Amino acid sequence: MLAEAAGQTRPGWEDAAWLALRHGLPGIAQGVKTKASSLLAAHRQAWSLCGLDASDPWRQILALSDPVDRLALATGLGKSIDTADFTGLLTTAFAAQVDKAHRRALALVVYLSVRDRRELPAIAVETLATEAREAIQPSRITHQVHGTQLTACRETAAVCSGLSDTLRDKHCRNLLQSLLPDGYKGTKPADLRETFNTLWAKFHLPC
Amino acid sequence: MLSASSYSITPTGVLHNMSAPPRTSFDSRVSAVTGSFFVFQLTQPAKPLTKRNLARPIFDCGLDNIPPREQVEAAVRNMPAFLIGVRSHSTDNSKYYALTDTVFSIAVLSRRVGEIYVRSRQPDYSAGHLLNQKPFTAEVWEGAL
Repeated sequence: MLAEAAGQTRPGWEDAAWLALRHGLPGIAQGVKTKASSLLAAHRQAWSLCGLDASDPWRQILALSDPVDRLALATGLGKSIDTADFTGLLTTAFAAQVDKAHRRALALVVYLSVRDRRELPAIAVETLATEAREAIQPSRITHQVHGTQLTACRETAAVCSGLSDTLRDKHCRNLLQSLLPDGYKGTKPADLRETFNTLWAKFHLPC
Repeated sequence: MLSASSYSITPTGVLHNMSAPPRTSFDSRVSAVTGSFFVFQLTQPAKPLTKRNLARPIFDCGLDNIPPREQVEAAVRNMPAFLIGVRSHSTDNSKYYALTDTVFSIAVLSRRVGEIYVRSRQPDYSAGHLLNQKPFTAEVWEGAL
């Protein structure tokens, strides 16, 4: 009614919801600043989710908050998610990784999971290849190390000694060794192994 | 593979320079998981092709043992959607299968971008493109053999 009184068109439901959200935050009264762009993105996603049919695969995907969980689900949904959307989920999941080690672990798992069943544009495959290649490319390198690099090498050796000859553990061994000597900034080999095993299970790869 | 036995301080048998920390040698190795690789390549024809023929699709150059295009297109459907290629190493113990089957070699090389193969890519079947490439090597995938 106020909009009409001001000579403007009446806002739709989505705009009304956005205005209500933006001006109804309790923090505003206390002077807490919120990032309008993030809030708008959250609102748009929530609005899209409301408009989707219960059987729509996007409803399942948008109901998850973790980008890797979304990608894993989209992988399982197959061709009901189109290539462009899948590529978007893929790049978002990569962008959410905290460091090189986690990006490489994700790239390796996604490559193994997706290569047989999902068409991807060359740019998305190139992204995967850039991250995963060193864990796929056979190599033997002698490193001269000391300090933190030496610690990383020793920890990696300790983790690798506990790995078996299953498909998963062979890939895990390659992943851990491909990151030597300086790829473990911000993470530990043992933690990366756990992350890799979790990803392996999420993407339903056979052991 | 790393093992405790691979530690060694270099140089050995001498006091190290205190201004530089002692270094330890570590071997890291990335090995083939399946132990085998496919090498996709085409052999050069006995008689070099003319410039004009190099620009034409390989199916129309009158070469021996070149399968029809339909056979190549059918083979593509049996390949993975994409593959990441690797550099060949003759020093490791892996087995390298040089594919004499030109059907799969044409299918892969025509859709190759650098060191990746992408099935959805528009194929380039020109003889010059296919014959002037480095071999494409990829680890054998499940169900390939």
